[in-house]
Amino acid sequence: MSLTSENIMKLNKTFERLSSENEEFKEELAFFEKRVIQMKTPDSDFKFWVEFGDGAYLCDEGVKENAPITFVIPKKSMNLILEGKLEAFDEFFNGNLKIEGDLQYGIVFFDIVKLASEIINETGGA
Amino acid sequence: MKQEVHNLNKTIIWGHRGTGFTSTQNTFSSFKNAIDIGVDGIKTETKLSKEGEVVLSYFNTLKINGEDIPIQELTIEEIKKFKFENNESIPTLREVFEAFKSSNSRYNFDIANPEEGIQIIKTAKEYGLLNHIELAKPSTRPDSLSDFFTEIRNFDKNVMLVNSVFLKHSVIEDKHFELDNMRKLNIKGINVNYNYADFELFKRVKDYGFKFCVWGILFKRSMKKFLTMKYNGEYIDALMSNQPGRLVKFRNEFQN
Repeated sequence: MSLTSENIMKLNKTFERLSSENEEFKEELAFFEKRVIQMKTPDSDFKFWVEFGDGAYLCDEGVKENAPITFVIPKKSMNLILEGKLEAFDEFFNGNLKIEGDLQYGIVFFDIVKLASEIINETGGA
Repeated sequence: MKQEVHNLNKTIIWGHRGTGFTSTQNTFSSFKNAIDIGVDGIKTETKLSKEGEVVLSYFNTLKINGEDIPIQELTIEEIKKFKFENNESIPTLREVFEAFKSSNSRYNFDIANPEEGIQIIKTAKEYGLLNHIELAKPSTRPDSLSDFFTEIRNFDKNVMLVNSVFLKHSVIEDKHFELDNMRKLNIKGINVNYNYADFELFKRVKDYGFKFCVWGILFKRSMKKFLTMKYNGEYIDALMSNQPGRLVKFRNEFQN
């Protein structure tokens, strides 16, 4: 796995851990129905999925069958978005981020990532 | 009849497509739930049917016999055959105006083109609801305000128009407001995504003399942040959420 892919999974695993350790993040995730987003990268074979809602954030490498939402985005862009260094909307309107399925719920993923990052910055983890 | 919060220095709360993520969006039951939980208005998208009737729908096309057909090529009868997962059909503007005419509810419509806006104005006038509607340029549209709103403003001098800043502008500069066009076309409000909204932007918009509206708010911390933000003794004019029930509850808590 490349360094970028490793960093993407590391960040996602941090958010996953936060969802079990931080009450605010857990509470906010409880307000959403469970949804799965499949992430694909056009520039490599790297794939991962994220499931959020019902109070949890889960993720893993590979493919989750029948995911209702799919993002196709270059690895580098996804990494920068997760690190808070790039706006998802910029990538969307530049054509680098393609969302198949429920666009509105897909965009919520980026709101959740921003919230997780804010909480981590404030608490140093959870 | 509800009190009109815009006369009480409180923030107007829009329920996105009814109660947003908490029920089947853009259905009659979702609109009713939103009004019952205390939102001040419904924000949603419109489309025109083949006959030119306004329907409330986000979809550009509907799947008929496996084929995606643009809504404007379908009659109301054909549109009504489409069923959501809760077995409801796409509501028409007339049905919604008729059902909620005694509720004092407001409506903010993201329109796709001037024809839709003009048809909404005509329908609202029939119901005496022109003062209850706002027409917005969607934040996904890069069009200039002049291209988007001139025909509508020429048709009606009074209808409230709102400029949703194009989403690509995460750093919102004055040039993105098109201030000259806003004044020329008498556009009253500026609507921005909550990720790009802060006190400085709020202050700038109010100093320019426009209403400041924020959309997309989801989490308690952002609800609290924007419900408690004040400039010159005034709260933010309007907030839109996909979790409007929480927003109403927190408004009751944070704005007395």
